[in-house]
Amino acid sequence: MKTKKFLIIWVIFTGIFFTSAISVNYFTDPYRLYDTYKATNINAIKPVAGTHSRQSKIYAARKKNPDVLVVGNSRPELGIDPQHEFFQQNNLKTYNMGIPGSSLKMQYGYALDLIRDQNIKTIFIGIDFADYMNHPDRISDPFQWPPKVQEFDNRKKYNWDGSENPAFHSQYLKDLYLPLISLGTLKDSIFTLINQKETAKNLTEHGFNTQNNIAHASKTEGIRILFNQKNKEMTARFNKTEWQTFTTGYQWSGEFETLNFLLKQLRSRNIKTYLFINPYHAHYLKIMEMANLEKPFQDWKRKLVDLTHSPDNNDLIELWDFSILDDFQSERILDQDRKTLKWFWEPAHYRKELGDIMIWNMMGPDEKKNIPSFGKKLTPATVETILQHDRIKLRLYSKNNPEEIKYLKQFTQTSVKNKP
Amino acid sequence: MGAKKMLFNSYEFIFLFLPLTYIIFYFLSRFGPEKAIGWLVVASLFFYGWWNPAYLILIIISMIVNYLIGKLINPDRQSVFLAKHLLILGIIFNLGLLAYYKYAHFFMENIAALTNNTYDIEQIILPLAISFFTFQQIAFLVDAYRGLTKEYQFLHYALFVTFFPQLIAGPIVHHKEMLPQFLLKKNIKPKLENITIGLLIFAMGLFKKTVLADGVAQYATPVFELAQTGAQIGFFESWGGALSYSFQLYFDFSGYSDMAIGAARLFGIKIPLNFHSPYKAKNISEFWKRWHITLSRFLRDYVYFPLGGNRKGKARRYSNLMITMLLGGLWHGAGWTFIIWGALHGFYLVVNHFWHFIVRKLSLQAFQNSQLWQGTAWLITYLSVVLGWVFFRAEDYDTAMIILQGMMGYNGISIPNGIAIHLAGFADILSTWGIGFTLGGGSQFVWTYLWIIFLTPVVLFFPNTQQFMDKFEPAYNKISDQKEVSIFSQSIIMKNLRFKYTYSWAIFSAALFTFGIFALSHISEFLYFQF
Repeated sequence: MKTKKFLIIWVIFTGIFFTSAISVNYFTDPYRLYDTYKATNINAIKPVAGTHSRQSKIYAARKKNPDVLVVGNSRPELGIDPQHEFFQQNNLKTYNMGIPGSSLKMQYGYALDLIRDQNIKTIFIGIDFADYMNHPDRISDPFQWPPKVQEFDNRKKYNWDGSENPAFHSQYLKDLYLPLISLGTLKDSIFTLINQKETAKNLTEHGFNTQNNIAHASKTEGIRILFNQKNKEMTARFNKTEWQTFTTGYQWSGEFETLNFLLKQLRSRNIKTYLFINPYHAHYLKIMEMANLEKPFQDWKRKLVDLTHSPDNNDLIELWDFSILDDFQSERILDQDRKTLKWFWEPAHYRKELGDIMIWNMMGPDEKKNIPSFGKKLTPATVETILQHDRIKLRLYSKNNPEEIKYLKQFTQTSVKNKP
Repeated sequence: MGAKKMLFNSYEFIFLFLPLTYIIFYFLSRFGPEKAIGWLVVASLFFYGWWNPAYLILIIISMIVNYLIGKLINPDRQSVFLAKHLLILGIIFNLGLLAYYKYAHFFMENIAALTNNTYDIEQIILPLAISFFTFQQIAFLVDAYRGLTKEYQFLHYALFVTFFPQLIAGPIVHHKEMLPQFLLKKNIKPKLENITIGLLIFAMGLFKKTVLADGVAQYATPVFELAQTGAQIGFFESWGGALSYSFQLYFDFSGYSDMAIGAARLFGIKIPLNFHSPYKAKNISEFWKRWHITLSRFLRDYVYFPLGGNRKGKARRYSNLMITMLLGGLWHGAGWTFIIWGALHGFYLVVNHFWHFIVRKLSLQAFQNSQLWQGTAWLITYLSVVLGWVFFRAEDYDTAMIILQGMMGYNGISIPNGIAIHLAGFADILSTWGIGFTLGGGSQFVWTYLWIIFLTPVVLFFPNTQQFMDKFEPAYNKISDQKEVSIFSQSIIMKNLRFKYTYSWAIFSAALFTFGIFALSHISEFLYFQF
C-alpha cells in the first residue's frame, strides 16, 4: 500500500471512530446531559449520572422549569423524592437539585440562579450542621460580599449581584459538548448500557438518586460494614479540630451570610420556603456529642431560628428540625444482619421512606393516610423546649443502648488521640 | 494563558498550534529556508511564552549570552587561557541561573534548618524547561571550547535551543544532531511520509500519555496522597501504588518522548531517542542507557568523564558514579527525596559494577548466563527501580517511608471486605495466614491490579514505538537490543511485530488516535515538565 492511500484510510477510520463514539455517548447520555430518548433495558437507568450532578443538575433544573425545587447536599438528594405523592396530587413539577459533596456557595448559588428566572413557587432546603462547621484557624471576614468567584460559579447564568455572568455560555458549551468527545464518557456509556438492572443506582430525570446499589451492598456485605465505614469517617472528621459554629471573633460566619442572602432573595420573591435540618441516625448524633459538638449544634439551631424569623418573615419561611432523636433514628445496628435499615442507608443518609414522612409532616399530613408525626417546627417560642427535650432523649438513648455506645466509643478512642 | 502550559496533550496544541505552525512553516519555506526557520523560532517562543510570557526574556537572554560566548570561545581564535576563562564564565552564568531559580529556596531552607534561623525568602517560580535548556547550552559551550562546533547563525542556534518538540522536557539535544538538520534543504519541503510517520508516532505517544499513563495514575496518586496524611498503608495497597506509579511514569515519559519525535518528524527533523523500553533492562547500568537517554549521556560526557570516569581506579570510579548520580537526582528537583533517589541509583550502579568485577574475578560467567540468573537479574533491577520511584514520587521522606514500610508488610497484609465476601471459605483460610480484611468494596484494589497485570506484558513483551517503526528511521539514532542485558529481546513478537502500510495498521492506529483524543478531556501535565 502507498503512503497516500494509507493516510486516506487512516483519516477515514479516524472519522468513523470519532463519529461512532460521539453517537454512543450522545444516545446513551450517561450523565443526563442531553435528555435523549430513554429506552427501557437500554439506557433508561443512569448508574453513573450521580457522579456528574455538579455538571448536569443546574442545567437540567433550568430545562424542567419546576414549581418546587429541592436544594442541599447528598442527604436530600437521596432522601427527598420529587415524585412524592403530595407533589403528584397537587400537580407540582419538582426537581431535586441536591448535589453530593457540594459547598453551601454551590448549593445556594445554584438555587438563587434558578429562582432569578424560573417560576419556582416552593423551595425545600435541606441543611446540615457539618456544612456550617468553622475551623478555629479560619480568619476570613464573614461579611465579605459578594463571595470570591469559584470555578463552579461559571455554571451560573447570573452573578451574586444579579448581573449576567459572561462566563456562563462558554461553560455551558464546555459542560454539554466536551463529554461527547471524552473517553471517560465512553466508558460510562458502556457501563450504563450493561448495567440496566434493578440493583444499579440511578439518577432519575427529576434529580433523585435512588442508591439501589447501597441496598444491594447492605444485603450482600451487611449494614454493619456501611456503618463501620461511615462512623469511622465521621468520628475522624468531627474530632479533627475544635469545630465552631461561627468564624473566630464573630457571632456570624460566611455560611450564615450566604444563607441569609438566599433567604432574603426568597422572601423578596414570595417563594414559600421549607428550611429543614436533615435527620441523622442516632450513631451520627452520638458521635457528634462525643466530639463535644452538642452545644455548637444547638447554638447553630438557635441562629437558624433567628435568621428565619425576622420581622418581615410573614410565615413564608418555615424551619423544621428532623435531627431530633426519635424512634426513626434509633434502629439498632449491632443486631442487624445482611439487610437494609427501614429509614436509613447509613448514619448520615436517610432513605426515601423517611423523606416521604418528612414531606407529609412539613406540608400538613393527609389525615386519611395516618402519617406518623416526625420532626418539629422550630420557632422562637418552641426552640428551647425542643432542644432541652432533645438533650434528654440523647442521654436516654445512651442509657437504653449501652452496647451501641460501647461500639461507637471504639471509633472515638482512636480519633481523639489525633485531636489537637 | 497565564500559568497554563501548552501541553502536547491539549486541544490547543493538537488542533491549533501544531497545524498552524506546520502550515505557515511550509508556506514560508517557499520564500526561503531562513524565513521558515525564523517562523519556527517565533512559534517555539510563543509555545514557551504561553506558560508565562515574562519568562521569555529569560530564555532569550540565556540564548544570546550563550551564543556570544560560544562564538568568542573558539580556541582557534582565542588564546587557550581566554577561551578557558570564557568557558568558566559561561558555565557559571548557566549554573547561576539554574541555582537561583531552582535551588536557592531549597538551599536557604536547609541553611535555616541547620542554623536554627529563619530567612524570609520567597518561593521563586521555576522557569519552564530551565534544566533542559541550561544543560543543552552548557554542552554547546564545552564543545565550542573543544573546537567541535561550527560557525552557526543566531537564528539556527535559537532554533537548536527552542525547537518546541524538545524544548520543555527534552530530549537534551546536541548541537551536532540538530543544527545540520535545520540546514538541510530537503527538510524544508513537505513530505507525505514525514506527515504519516510523524502523525502515527504522535498518536501512539498521545495514547500512551492520555489513556495509559493518566489511566493508571488514578491508582497511584491516591496511595501517595494518603501516605502524605500519615495514614498507615497496607501491603497490597502500597505495592499497588508503587507499581502503578512505575507504569504511570513509564508511559508518561514514553508517551511524551514519542510525541516529541512525532511532532519533530512532521517538520522533517529527527530528534534523538530518549526512551527505549527501560523496564526490559537486566541491570541498572542498562536501565540508564534506556531511561532519559540524553540526560544519561550528558551526565556521562560532561560530569562523569571530566571527574575521571573509570580511569583512576575503582574507588574513584565508584565515587564518581555516586557524585554523578547525586547530581542527576538533584537535577530532577530541589528536594531531599530526589537526592535520596539519586544516591540510591548511584549505589545501585556501584553494586552493579562491583558485581561484574566479582563475576570476572571468580569466573562466574556461566552462572551469570543461566536462565535463572537472567530472570533474577531482571527482577532485582526492576524492583530496585520501583523502590527508587517511591522516593522520586513521594512529597517528602516521611511519605516515602510510609509507603516502603507498607511494602515490607509493617502495616499488615489485608484485602478489602468486598472481595473477601466473594471468597467464601477461602477467606477463612486467608485469615489463618494472618491476612486481614479492611473496609471497602474492593473495586479500587481490583482495578489497580488489573492495570498492573495489563501493563506488565506491554512494557516487557512488545516492541517499543521506535522498534515498530524502525523501517522508517523515526529518530536520529537507533538502539539495538542485546539479549545479555535486555529481557525478551529475541522473542518472536519483538522481532516480527512491525508497522506496515496495511489496512489493519491504519485501523489500529486510527483507534489509538481516537482514544488518545477522547482521553484529553482530563488533561494532566507530563511528569517531566516539573524538572
